[in-house]
Amino acid sequence: MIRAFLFLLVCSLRNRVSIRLKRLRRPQYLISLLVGLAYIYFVFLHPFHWNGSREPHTNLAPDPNFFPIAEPAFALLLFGAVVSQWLLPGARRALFSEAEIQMLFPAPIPRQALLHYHMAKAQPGILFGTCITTLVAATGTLAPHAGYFFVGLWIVYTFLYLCRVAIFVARKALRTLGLAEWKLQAGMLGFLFFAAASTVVWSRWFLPEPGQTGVPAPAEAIPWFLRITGSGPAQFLLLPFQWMVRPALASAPAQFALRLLPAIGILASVYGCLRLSRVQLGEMFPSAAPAKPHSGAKTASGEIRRVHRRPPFRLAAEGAPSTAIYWKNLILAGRFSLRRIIVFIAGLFVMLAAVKTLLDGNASAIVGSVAAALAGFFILLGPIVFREDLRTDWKNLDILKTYPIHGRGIVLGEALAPSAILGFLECASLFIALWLLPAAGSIPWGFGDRIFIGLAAALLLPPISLVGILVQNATVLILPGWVHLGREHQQGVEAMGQRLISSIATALCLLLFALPAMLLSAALFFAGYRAMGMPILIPAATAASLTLLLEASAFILWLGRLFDRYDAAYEG
Amino acid sequence: MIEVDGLARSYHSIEAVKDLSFRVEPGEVLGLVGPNGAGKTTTLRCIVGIIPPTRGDVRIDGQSILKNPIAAKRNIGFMPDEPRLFEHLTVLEHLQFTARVYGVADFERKAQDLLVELELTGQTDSLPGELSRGMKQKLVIACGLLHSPENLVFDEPLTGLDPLGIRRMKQTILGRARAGAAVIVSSHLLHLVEEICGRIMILKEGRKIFHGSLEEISRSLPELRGSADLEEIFLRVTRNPDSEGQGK
Repeated sequence: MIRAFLFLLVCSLRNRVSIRLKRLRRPQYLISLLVGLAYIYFVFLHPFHWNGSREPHTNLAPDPNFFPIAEPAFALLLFGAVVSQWLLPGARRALFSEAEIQMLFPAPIPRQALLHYHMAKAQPGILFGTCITTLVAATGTLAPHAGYFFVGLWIVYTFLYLCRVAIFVARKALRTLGLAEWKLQAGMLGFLFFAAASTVVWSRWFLPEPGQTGVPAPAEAIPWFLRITGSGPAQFLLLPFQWMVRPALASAPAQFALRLLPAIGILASVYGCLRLSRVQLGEMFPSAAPAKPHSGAKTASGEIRRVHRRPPFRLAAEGAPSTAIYWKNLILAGRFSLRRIIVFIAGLFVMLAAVKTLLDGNASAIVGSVAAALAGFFILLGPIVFREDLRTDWKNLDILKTYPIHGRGIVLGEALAPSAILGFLECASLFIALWLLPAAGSIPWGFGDRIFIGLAAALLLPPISLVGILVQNATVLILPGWVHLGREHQQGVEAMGQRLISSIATALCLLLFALPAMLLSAALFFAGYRAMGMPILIPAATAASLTLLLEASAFILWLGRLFDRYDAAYEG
Repeated sequence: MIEVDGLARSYHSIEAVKDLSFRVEPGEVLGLVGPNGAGKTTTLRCIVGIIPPTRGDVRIDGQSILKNPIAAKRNIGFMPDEPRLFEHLTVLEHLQFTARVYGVADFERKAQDLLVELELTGQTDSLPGELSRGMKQKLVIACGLLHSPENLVFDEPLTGLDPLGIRRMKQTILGRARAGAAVIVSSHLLHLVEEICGRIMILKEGRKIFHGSLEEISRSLPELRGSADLEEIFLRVTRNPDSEGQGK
């Protein structure tokens, strides 16, 4: 059996490499590979500085102040990663591919052999991830010793992988017992709430608080964080995760060996549980099932099918056909119904009011800072992350091409859903930040000022999101090889190069598009600020927003023409 | 009416379809047959506007798919062999979506009729992941028929259907043709083609080698003495001379 699996793994790997090599005949892939390699060389391996001096490249020395916080911080990250595997839909996906289920499961192969095959199959990805992370960390302040870091990280990634399998098995076992999907989710959320609440209570009662005003200075915040994670409930919760990350942060052989033992122990226990479990490793959901009486019904095996959720709005049979594509993509993105949005906004208000009134200034500042960071993330990386547009619909290109819709209608319909979602999230994050962040520096940050800044942002952010999404969709139409299409995740050095080029191109295009709008709004702002004060932000933002929308319209027309001319035979 | 005029399509250096011309009149069912790689699917994809032809043109009710694609596509329905569906849209939502795309005014009534005709009434709230292969195929066909196109293109329409489904599908195709639709059916199921198609076109290596009724094709092969069925004709005309020589 081992030989058969080995044959399958080696042949698959060989053919994958061969396909990648053949792909390099196309210029865009070759250029991407070269850029990816150049990036790795200059950023991680180049022995000289960028300024061309022939001084040896010295890695940033590991920061001794960083290590005390690194262990609990990484443990917290690892805990978050494990919990997210339970909460996110990825955990409900089958462990094996359709082909594997069809060919391996009917064969007389014991469950353990399937488990070992799955583990072996995961290793190339784990090793690749370990290498890349070590390359990144070894040039920074994270890794005291590259070798120990590599081994430690491999253990962490293997642990994460085993946790994914274990979570799949546990979910399946619980659902076979009749527990509904929402109960599993609610159970985990309840556990998280209990853990967070007990930590807050513990820290309030037993730990001295940092300064009461303003954002906590790092000097105060770090010891505060260490006290919270090093005592009480948080310590117990994070302990196994701390054991897992410790080997990666070791600096001496003896320390590494001592730290290795508990980590290996935890890894072995997760593996042992998986081995002893009798739960079948096949798919969680049946691929095909008979008639379904209503949503959320159980199958004969006790498994629960995907729940049908309400569409975002009622789609009339007549009207602009691009609205149909917008409607479809909103559903695919997770069904953003009006009712859900209202509930979300109401919940947000209650939560923010609670944070503002019940907690101290530090908590408000922290939540506000996180929200501001989130807003920045959505603006810069949102168009790359939110991809329910031509990028995921590319697999349906054949269907889209048969529709009696102009290319511009298809492009507009495709871009609207992610832009709307992004615009909403950006505005929500900024709203939270503006509400909670304390006054800082010379900016007055009065209530009225915040209102004007918020309104200006609400006017500006949706068109910016639309342009960002259009840039991504333009890449699909112009250079489909440079953007990750569909849901399948691409790996490899050239994929990294493609992503890098795509990110740089997106940033440059966004800047190019935003330039006229920025100049116009800046001119309006400086001309009218003395006379009007902060309210001038509104006309300035309106002018910028209209400029961006005008540019977006021209962009859509051009992309539409590209779509109409696109030959689906080559890239579809 | 579907008119194909001098259609040719190349993939890099390979010419998949070579100078193909034919027309399908209203009420006619044309069977498109040929061995694997003969250019059937490429021809169909060119006809419905998924890929542009390298040369030639296709006209749907007089509208060129190249010069006036929107008007041409509005009056054609394509049922592909592989049912591709939007994974988070239910059966009914697929129909709603298609209705909006094609601007179907009386969507509710037409959708209800189609759901009954294709036996999908109990599945309206099902997601594609919950449907069998045959059900998915039926949903694709329902979406293709919703706007009552007068030109229909079926690529392997019976794949995955149960015997009752097969019978109903044949009735659906013939019913639409009787109502005046021009229909093209591409299939490897020669008995189906023989049963429902008034005219047959045999493709080989991208070229049309026979086009006409079964009797006409049969008459053009005197060695068969006019009594052969489509399977025999197909095997005789598409047989590779090299392999025939080796067989002998």
